Amino acid sequence: MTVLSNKEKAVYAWQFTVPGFGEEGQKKLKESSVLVSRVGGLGSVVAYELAAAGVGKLVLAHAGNVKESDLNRQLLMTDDWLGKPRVASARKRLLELNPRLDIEIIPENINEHNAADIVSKSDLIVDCAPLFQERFLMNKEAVNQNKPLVDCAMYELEAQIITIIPGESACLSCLYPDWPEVWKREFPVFGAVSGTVACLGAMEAIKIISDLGEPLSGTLLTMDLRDMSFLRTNIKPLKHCPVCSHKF
Amino acid sequence: MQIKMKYSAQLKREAGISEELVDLQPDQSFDHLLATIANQHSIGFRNVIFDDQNSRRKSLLIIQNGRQVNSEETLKLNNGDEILLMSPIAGG
Ligand SMILES: [Zn+2]
Repeated sequence: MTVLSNKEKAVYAWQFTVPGFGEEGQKKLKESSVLVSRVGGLGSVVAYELAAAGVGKLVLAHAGNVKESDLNRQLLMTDDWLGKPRVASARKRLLELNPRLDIEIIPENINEHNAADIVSKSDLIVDCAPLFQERFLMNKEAVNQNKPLVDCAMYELEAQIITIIPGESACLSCLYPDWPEVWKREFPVFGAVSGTVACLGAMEAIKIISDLGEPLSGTLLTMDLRDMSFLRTNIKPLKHCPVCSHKF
Repeated sequence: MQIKMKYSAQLKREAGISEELVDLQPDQSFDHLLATIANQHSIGFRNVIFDDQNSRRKSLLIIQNGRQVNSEETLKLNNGDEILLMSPIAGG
């Protein structure tokens, strides 16, 4: 049985008083593992919030070294780490905040060869990849392995988030049944936009792990920060989805 | 009939506007509506809606009066409808 140390009780004390969470919720977070892929503008903030909240194990997947153009939004990367591996910077920064965490770093992006293995390392996935190729691979593996996936995305001052509970809600392939080839890897971005949807994604993960509130299962939340408009839309599972229809 | 169109993300950027009113004949179809707006905007706007074979991209999210119309359903237009077209985004 998971026990919280006195130090942990002191660090997380202000979360215990959240109705419906309490010490039991904290123990669930401590027992859980979350995959964050990648740890860029969005994933950095997701990982930071999950580390602060006390998720026991974080699995971080992201290839490449820190570049100058990362620094406007990838908050786990620092100027003194330019040219060095992103995941190592992320791990260092997260442990500075919370040295009680288990952090596994994988210096790779999700691909068809590693997706099943990387997804299998965690209880829940927060999908923060800038390419649909990676997103679809994680979606397929999450559905196959029956793991909740929180899909967060942004563009310019707009962002969206949907939570996928296999067998309960529409998956990413229901949302986008064909290849979104119009999407380009380079996109206009402020760190604060990535960070906004990242905090929502982290909150979804915390809620699902600790049975708190209602996740956005089957609901797409879209937002435009130019005018601060938010919209919730029900997304129905496709009857003939090649990825998830066998779950219903 | 008159339809209020709303656009998000890349579609909004290509259109340069976030919404507009489109006038159609009472019996005109959703496909006709898409062709009409595609003709009014840039080639980039058209490319977000239609592929090289001029088929509507299924990755375009369509919301009619707050309700999603997915790729397995047929959209029937009514006067006064508000149609939101959301282009797919994956920025991290
Ligand atoms: Zn599906």
